[in-house]
Amino acid sequence: MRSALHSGAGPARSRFSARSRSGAARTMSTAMNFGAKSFKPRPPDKGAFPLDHFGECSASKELFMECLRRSGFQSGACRELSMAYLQCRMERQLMANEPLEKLGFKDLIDEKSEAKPEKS
Amino acid sequence: MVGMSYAAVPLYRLYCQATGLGGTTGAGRGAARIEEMEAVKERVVKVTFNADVHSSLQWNFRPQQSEIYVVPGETALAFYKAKNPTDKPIIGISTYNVVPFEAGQYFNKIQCFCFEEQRLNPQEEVDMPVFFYIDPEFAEDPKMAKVDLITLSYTFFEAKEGQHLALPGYQ
Repeated sequence: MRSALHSGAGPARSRFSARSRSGAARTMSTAMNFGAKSFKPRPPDKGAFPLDHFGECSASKELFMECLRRSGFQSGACRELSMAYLQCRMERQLMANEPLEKLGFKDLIDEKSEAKPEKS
Repeated sequence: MVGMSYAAVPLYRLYCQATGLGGTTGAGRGAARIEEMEAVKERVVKVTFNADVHSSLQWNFRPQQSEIYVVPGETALAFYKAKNPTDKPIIGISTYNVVPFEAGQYFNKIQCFCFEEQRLNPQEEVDMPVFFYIDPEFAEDPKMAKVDLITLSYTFFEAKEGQHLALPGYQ
């Protein structure tokens, strides 16, 4: 029993060390080996947001973050506030003006325009 | 390892020039796609956020939410925060990574704060938004059937004045 265990451990040990050596080599090589499959970052579709240096939309962001925290970080629950944040940015030249439908808020816009005739 | 990550920015630039990376190939990204796509509401994906700075960059950089639950086909907003605690202006430039690797092709950033220089004045703190969506085709890819967690990692490097990541096709 004991000898069987011992003989089993021998080859396993050398296998393990061989694997870790090649593993290290593999890590080193994939980090530098651009031909291998690796993640390819893509630039954002609409470029970078200018920085909100003066915190002009911080209040809007806070409302959105509070909503996220309340809803258990459900993005779907806070889309109106995310739309409001982006509108804040657009109004202050912190984001290129874009129709909200093109930012994925078409359903929210349609809801609003349907709600208006009912209210009046 | 430190040396390699330090060299990553110029090496990344060389890589982009050599491979023509930075083009907008893929499942029809663009405004039309975003406008027409439908949310796959039954397929909830958890997106977690990582923030790193290169050792030479003295910014405090962190995500403002640890996770967010999204569905493919629905645009989502998330925030990072960066602060320059020093007494001199510092310019940073960031890149990002998505794991699992195969999910990265479905992860589309509409707008964020990466690949362009961002200058923070002394003691300045700013919100950095990321506006993104997961392509609805994610829900139809059998290889993605077991993927319910995607991690988005941003890393900031210090940029010298006037330097920029020259991504072909990206202005």
